[in-house]
Amino acid sequence: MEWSLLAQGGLNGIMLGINYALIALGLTLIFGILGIVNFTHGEMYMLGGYVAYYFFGYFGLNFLATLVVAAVVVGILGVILEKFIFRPLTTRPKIELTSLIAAVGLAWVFQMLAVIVFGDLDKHVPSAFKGILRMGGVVITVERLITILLGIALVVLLNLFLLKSKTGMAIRAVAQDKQAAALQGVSVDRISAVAFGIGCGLAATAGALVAPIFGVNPSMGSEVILKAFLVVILGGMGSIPGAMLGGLVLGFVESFGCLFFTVPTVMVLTFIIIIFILIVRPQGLLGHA
Amino acid sequence: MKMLETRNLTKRFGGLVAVNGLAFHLEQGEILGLIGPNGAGKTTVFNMITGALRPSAGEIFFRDGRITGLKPNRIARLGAVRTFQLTNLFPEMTVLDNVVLGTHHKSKIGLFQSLAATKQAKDCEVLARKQARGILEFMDLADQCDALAKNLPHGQQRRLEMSIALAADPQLLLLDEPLQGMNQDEVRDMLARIEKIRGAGRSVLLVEHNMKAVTNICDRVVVLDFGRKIAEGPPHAVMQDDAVIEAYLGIEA
Amino acid sequence: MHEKSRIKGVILAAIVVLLVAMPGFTKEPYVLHILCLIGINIILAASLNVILNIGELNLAQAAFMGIGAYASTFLVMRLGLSFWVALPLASVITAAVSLLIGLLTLRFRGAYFLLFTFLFAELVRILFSNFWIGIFGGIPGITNIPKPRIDLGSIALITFDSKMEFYYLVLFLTMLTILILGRIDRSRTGMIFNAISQSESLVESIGISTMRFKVLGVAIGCFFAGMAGSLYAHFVGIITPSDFAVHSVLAPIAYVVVGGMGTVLGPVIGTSFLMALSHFFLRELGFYELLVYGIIIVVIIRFMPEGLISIPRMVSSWFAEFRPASR
Repeated sequence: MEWSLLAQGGLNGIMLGINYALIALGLTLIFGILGIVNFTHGEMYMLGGYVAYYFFGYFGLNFLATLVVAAVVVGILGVILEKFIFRPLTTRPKIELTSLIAAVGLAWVFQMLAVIVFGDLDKHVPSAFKGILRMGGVVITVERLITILLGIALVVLLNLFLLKSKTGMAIRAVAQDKQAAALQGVSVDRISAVAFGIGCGLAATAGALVAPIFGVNPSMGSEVILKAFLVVILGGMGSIPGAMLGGLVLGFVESFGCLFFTVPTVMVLTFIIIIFILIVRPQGLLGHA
Repeated sequence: MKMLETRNLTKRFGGLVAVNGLAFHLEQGEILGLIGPNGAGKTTVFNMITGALRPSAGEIFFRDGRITGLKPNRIARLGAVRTFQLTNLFPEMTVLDNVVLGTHHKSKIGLFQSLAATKQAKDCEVLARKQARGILEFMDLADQCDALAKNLPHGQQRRLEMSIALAADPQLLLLDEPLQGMNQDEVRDMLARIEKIRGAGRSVLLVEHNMKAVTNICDRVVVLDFGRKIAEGPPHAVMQDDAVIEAYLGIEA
Repeated sequence: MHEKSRIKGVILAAIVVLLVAMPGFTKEPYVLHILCLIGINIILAASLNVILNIGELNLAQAAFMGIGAYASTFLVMRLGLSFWVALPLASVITAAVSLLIGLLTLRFRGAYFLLFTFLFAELVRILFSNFWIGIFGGIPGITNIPKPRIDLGSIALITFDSKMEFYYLVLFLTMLTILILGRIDRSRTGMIFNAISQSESLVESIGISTMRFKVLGVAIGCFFAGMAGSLYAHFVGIITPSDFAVHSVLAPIAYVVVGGMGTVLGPVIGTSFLMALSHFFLRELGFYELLVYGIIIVVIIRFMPEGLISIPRMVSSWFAEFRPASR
């Protein structure tokens, strides 16, 4: 095995991992705040991809501006969903179950609507950054390198926001203890909506970010949500660092696994690893008991 | 005889030490108050004793057996049954069924027996209903047997919660702020009931914020502040303690 | 109260008589075919409902049905067992697999069971599609699955080749399932399932191991999912991995939610209503069927969470409000 192949695998792993981490971060954020497993999350990623297809690929908007558009548009959609579908459910019994079922149904509606509106074929999004870099035997397209860097920047931004900003601190307070946060004067309703919007916007940004590399299609969301769930179990439900670590682990496992095995075998192996982790470390790699 | 004892009980959350080396005990037939200002660690102690939280260090003994780190249902079956700070009952069930479930762990009905409706299963069911009615009479809720739990007024819901716990036949009843949200009359009524429960030979651990109530009913109190025990003894003596006045009343005043 | 339950009993008896006599009204194979599918789906929806009853959503319910289907065909086609042995055996195998998953995931609070079952459904599809192709038949699946038969030598020979014979088999098993699940629902065990979905912490605090009952609930649910799978395989004669993929769980969720979650008859009503609607009245729906199911799920959960089964109660409470005014 040549080292350049391994380095190539490593770079791919990082790219996949950051992509998974971005989706899982939103998922874990929403779960931490609202206790909802947001099944529509994959569809937000998918919608982000289509924003890139139309705004960047079709209207020729600047790529970075496109990312912002994806985050804002889908973020607002998230706030609307939270306000009109999920929040009314919280006042009723069995909220975990009912919100989940609503989310499963919604995910399906979005995916089917995407098929109707956008068509069910793969759509190509032109690449935003041209050129390739060579370092020794390792070849990487500028596009992938920038995607990685932008992904890292987003993760850093989110962390800074959560750690430093007032809203970010309120979000963390609500995630830890709703009642205590409410006593401190935090509006739990507002924070829930904000967190939902941020989570959805993050997923959309991730979808838009990788659209030029992977293309877009209506089922891209349901494929990626599976990965995001793996990441969340790996990292621990509700844990932000866990989502980042879990994303990288899964990215590397897939990227290197595919060098040695077929795709179905990698999936089965990943699954076995998950079972092993659940037995040894039930709360996930970085989750709390 | 010691009913409950903790030794060096400690709980850390990340860098924060919520409970630090706590040692106290509760005698059989005693009503012990666990008090302290908000954030003193009372609830954390309560959750460790009842198995909801695992201690970072230290031991908990119940009737001479070690119960540190056991699952909540195991601890309840051993005879230490808790209530909850926020209303916690089966809202969609009748009052009677709520209490019947409380008796379940003492009965011996298996799935297949109850499906086949064997005579033994039917007898158990009849007995459970009878016991549940008895407890509801004791708590003055007998006339509400067929009402849905969610439809009861708040005061009656609190009594129902205590009925459920009593149905599980505890040696030690652990009450987590049972007086919260109650008016003067309800508080007086509830304190009288706790006294009556003790009269029936049970011990009571009372976690409470309401000082005045505690002094009237508890045999002894343990005062927590910042996760440490700062005083212990008969209520009236403890209330004179400088550390307690400073920690507890200082905040109130 | 007694009068009410007597009326309910009479209505149920009438429906059963009607269903038994159904082949007398119509010999149309399409109608009987759809009725059989409705029966199988009722078993599946009811099995999903058992698990919803303990407060968990099993996204692998269709996958467990698949395990029952593949296990049953394996037992019949490879090991040469009779369908009548394979059906219960496949159900038990399915329940055993679910037991492992339950033990692994139900220990944790939160959504581990749900997330894990989602992954598990995908794993099952991948295993059936890509591994042991000699046995599972890969992506094209298994065809020519034999129909059951009763061969009592000279006394009787019943082959289940026509829709009518199968109709009675499905009818019997569906009623048996509902009867057993109804019995469980009224038993102490059912009461505890119900209690767990209302307050897990309280159940635990009165000395009942929620873990034990949740695992039991999952196993009971998956037993019947396996049974539905076995029945389905031998009824349709062809099974493929994608029949049991994650998206296949959407329809049963819709059936349960529309009928009424947590009630024994809810899944029966929901499945009959939605399937009759889509097969007899909206046949040209085709692709839009899943979209419609998705919308129905969201709308019902949001505005009528107790489902169709709550309509009589709602109506009678309206009347109760009006009556004093008219007096």
